Amino acid sequence: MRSLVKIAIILTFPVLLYGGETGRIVGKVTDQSTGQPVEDVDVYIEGTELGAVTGSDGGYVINFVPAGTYDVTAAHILYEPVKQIGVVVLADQTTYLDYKLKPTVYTIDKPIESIAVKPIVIISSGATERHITAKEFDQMPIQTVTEIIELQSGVVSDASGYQHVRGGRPDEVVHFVDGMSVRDPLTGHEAFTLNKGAVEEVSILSGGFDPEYGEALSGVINIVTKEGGAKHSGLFRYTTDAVFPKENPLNFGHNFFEASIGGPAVTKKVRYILSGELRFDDDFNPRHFRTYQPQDEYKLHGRLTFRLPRKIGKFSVSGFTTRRQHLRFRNTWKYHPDLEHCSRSYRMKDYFAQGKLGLKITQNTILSLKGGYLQHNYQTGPRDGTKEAELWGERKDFWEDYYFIAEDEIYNTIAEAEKIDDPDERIAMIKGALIDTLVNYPWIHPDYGIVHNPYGVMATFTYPSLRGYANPAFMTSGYYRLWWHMYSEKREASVDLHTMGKVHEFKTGLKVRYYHLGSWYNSLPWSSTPFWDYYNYKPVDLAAYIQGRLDFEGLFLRGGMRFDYFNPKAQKRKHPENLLSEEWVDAKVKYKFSPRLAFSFPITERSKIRFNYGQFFQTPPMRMIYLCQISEVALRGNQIIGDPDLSAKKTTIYEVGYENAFTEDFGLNLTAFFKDVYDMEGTREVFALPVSYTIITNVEYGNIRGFEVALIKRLSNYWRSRISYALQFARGTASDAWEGYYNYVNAAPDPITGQHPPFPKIDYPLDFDQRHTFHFDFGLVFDEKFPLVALRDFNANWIASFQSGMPYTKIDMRGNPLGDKNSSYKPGFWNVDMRVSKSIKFGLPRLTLIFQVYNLFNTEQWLDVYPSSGEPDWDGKEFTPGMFIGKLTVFDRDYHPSADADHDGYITNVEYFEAYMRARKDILDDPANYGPPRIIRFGVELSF
Amino acid sequence: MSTMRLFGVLLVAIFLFQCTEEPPEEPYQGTAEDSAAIRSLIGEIDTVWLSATIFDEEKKESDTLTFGAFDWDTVVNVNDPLWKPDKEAITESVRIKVHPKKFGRKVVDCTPETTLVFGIDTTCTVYLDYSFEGYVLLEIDELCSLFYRRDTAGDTFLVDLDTFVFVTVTEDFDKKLRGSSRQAIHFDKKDGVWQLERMSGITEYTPVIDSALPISKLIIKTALTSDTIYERQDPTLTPPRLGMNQLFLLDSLVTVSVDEEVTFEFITGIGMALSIDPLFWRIYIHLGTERILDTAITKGYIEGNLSATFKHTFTDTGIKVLTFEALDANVGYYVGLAQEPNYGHFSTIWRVPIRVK
Repeated sequence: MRSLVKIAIILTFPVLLYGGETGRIVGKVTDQSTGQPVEDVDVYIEGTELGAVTGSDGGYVINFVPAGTYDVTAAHILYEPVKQIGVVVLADQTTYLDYKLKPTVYTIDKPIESIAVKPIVIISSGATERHITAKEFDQMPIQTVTEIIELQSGVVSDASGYQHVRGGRPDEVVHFVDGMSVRDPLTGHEAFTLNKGAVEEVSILSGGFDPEYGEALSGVINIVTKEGGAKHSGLFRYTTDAVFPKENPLNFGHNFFEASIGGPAVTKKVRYILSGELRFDDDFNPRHFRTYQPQDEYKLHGRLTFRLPRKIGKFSVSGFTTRRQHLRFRNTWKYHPDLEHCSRSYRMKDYFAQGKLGLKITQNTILSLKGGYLQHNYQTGPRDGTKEAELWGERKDFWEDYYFIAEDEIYNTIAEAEKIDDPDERIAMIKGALIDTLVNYPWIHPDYGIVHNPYGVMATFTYPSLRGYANPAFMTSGYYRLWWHMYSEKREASVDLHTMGKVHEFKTGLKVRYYHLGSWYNSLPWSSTPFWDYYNYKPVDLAAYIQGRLDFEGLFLRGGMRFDYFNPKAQKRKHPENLLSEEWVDAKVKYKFSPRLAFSFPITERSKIRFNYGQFFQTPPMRMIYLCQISEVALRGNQIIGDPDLSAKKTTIYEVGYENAFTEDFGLNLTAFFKDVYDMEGTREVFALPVSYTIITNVEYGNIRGFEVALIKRLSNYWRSRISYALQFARGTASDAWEGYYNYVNAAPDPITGQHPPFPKIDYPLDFDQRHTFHFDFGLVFDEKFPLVALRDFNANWIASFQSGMPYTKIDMRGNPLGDKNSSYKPGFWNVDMRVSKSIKFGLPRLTLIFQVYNLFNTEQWLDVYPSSGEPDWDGKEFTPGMFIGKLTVFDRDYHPSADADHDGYITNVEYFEAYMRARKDILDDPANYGPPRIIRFGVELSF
Repeated sequence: MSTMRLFGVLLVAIFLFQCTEEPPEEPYQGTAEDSAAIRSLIGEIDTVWLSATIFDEEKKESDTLTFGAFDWDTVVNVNDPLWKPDKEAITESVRIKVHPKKFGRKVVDCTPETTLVFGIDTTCTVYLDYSFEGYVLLEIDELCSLFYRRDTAGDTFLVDLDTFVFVTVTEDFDKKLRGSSRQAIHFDKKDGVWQLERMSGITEYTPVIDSALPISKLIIKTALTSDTIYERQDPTLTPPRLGMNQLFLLDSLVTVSVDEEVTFEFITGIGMALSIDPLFWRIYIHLGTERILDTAITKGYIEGNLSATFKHTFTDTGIKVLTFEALDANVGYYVGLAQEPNYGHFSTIWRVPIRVK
């Protein structure tokens, strides 16, 4: 096994490279009058040290241009210099830029300026890619990078807010920031979202990706951060809806501050950029109407770039930190008198740092050495209001963290325990912290309060005739039943070699990552046999990749191979059928090779056919590997246990596309794709001694097919537009890894057979199978030369979307499924967002007023429905007074004045029925089942 | 068109539509102002209605428990059910006394708790709960003692009355008592003003409802009327059954006339005499802030049912609260010196509001 690794390293090391953040500019310079190539023309990118000189054929190549928008000048002593403004360079892509120079006998210092255009068809690309630059998304009605991604064809957001790219699970997308993955290794989700002000370009790769991108099945989101420019620049933006009175439903308490500043520092060779966000909301995720779910968040990103002497390379360091904390609205908790502390809060804290040294070995070759660090902290549970008041004083400052119950006590004990070598002693100490410390808190179970119980329906009041119907009891006392802390840390080092020729490009790289993962969990804190868990592992993975690109006339070919190695550094049970056995064996080390191939045939200068094939592997979210390995935890019964030998899941993707730019401004993009996904994580029951358990295993399958079409109008004549439609079929055997446990293993047994429902034998539409998505993006951009003076520097943008509904399984009033699984579909809905801005220049500074409306027409958007009714606010079940007994008097435990309509101290069955129905209506009409209502925000921006 | 004008048009266009989804009106659950107003009202209400306990007798009583039938000479008669010779003597040194010379009770710690529960129809039901602790005070002048030695640990011994040795002593003892009481009162907000509208009876148990003595019903009779109040109401019966846990409208309390003799009879229920100890029944009648109009004590077992009857004539009008207590006669037992007396304080107290017109 070790020799295999060595072989892989030896094979790949000589040709290591790193990429994903730079593109190149290729072009030809000709004489405008003769059409002949011009030699020795100096083509350079302003504000950088990058440039090239044309050869005898007039051609030039500028390699390793960081993704961004530039002004590029071509100058020759015998010609008038020409500057092309706004040349867009995309990561991993070639920008073609030709010049036609006019001969002159005079010396002209000021070049002739012309506006460069971003090509509609990227000829060199072999798969579905979309690149959105900072300039573009700044004008769109979006506020976060996440929202940019949601607008792409084939991206579906579910009711929980998770994104599914081309029918994949949310953890099948990997986010890169400057080439480093920022996935939380435990959950597989993005650890953090970078502040928009730090982003230069977002690339969404959904149809297959080069070998340098690994650990993703559905998509790669590649974010390139901004570098400080040659000149000082800065921006401050404030967006709010707090202009509306506090009681107005349009006031969601949104206050969003963004700032950035950048430029040269000390010398021109050192550049910096610093950007940050501060965000406060009373309702951070509005659904249907305003609810109380406050959030405060800060983000700070900084990047420092040193250009090394004699143009030999560049060294950059960057850092990012964010802390997001919020309460999540839950309909059942809305009447709790201390909702703020007792309901479930969340705190996510991240630290990310990167250092990179790029050395130019030759004119066309760069060696990059890179180190990175990512730390993700996740804490959830109820908070300690007394302690927070003590720590915060009268007013909470933005940097102050939530304080979760027993936080210091548990954290300190964990820290002490982790120093102990003896595993049994360590586990006992941590168990003590997670159970003994928490057990005495007044948890929500089993007492439900009498006070703040608006309808007077008590949780303990369950009658046999109502069996199967949850009591509509609001949580009005006690704490939420969970305390959970997750920690993941990743240290990464990579070395990369990147060489670019005029025709070819070659990359190879090696990356090694060391992880430190931990979880401390208790979800039944009051119980003497709680669901608790603890793990602390340090796995390692390694990746090497070789990829090449050949740009011939008539064929662009991209291909390569990726090698992945993963050592879980864990042990697994030798006898999984016997939990009493304490024999353990080392978990296997995993290897995988994944070939990639993509090519595109340019038919004309403006059209191409492309084809992409690839096999992609992805290590499962690591908590699925390490979950509940402690014997005592496993023996509790009814546990889901991870498998240290869980294999990577695998996708094979085929994609074919046609792109055509009818004119310079209009284009068409057609794509068809087919994906098979194997070995997806699922849960199955293991019959073991002395108790059975559920194991996470590679057992599920998925198949996604689809078709996407987009019509693009590039910005010209003051307007731009993009119309896209996606048809997609996402089928499989499980929508998420836990489905087997919840829907089959742990589902209520059939009353006649006593058996759990059987696992499905055929695939079915997955929960996120959204068949139709349609986006219409339309923008008006009136620049400073627009004829109508009043409308100069005026931008307006609309995004209209239609999303068809996602599937669900219709059931009858007894809970029996009607038809096949997920054979019914929720209704789709329309949404229109709008952003309007007007800038006014005061010399150098520019003041911009912004007006944004989300859900312009306030359409009602059903994200979730009750499977028995197909409606979001009522499950359709019928009740009669005869199903209730009543007979509760004023001193009985279950008596509540709100259910006693005539207040005579006696609740009749009719009174209880009426109270029950009122409560049921309220509890079922859950705003979380809807999309956002209309939201109106105003902003002001000052930039220079 | 100027930019500002364009902004204006856009804004108007937006507001031509419905602004946004309005959150549903939250069910009324009271405000801080409402709570304060109701607590203030509770303070104004006659404290006699709401006080937790009648056990404020610091001074020992010498007469209240002196019943002719319970003289010591009679007590030694083993046929008297008040004296049970089958008490298990579980300690090496046992001393028993059943007839204290003086008796009293004192509450030393009382914790009130007021719970306001607002109803969705802008009403408020208030639970007035008291939990209290105190002492039963016994002054003893004669003690019967038995000395024996157990054969084995855990052995029990039936005390044979012939083996008792009587000695004359002068000793004070106390026994702990604890209990709780509860009443519900109901307020309605009319024209923005909170008003007391209903009240329940007050039930008080020592030590807890499950081990306190039960009272089955109270019959209030005049020459023309007879009303029976039970522990639990049941409006579904015909005629409806009144209950201590009923929220009576103030205008519809049980009503008697001034200067009319009223008979109060309260009963434990059929068969109770066989299963529980005999009772002392006591009655207090509160008038306004005056605490005791009259006190009556009677031995409480008659013909199988434990019951008692009192007569009283009210001389002025208004809402009165009658207090009835059923007290386990064994409260007078004293067993042992070094241990907690094994006969605690078991009682149930009903306080029943009535209207005298």
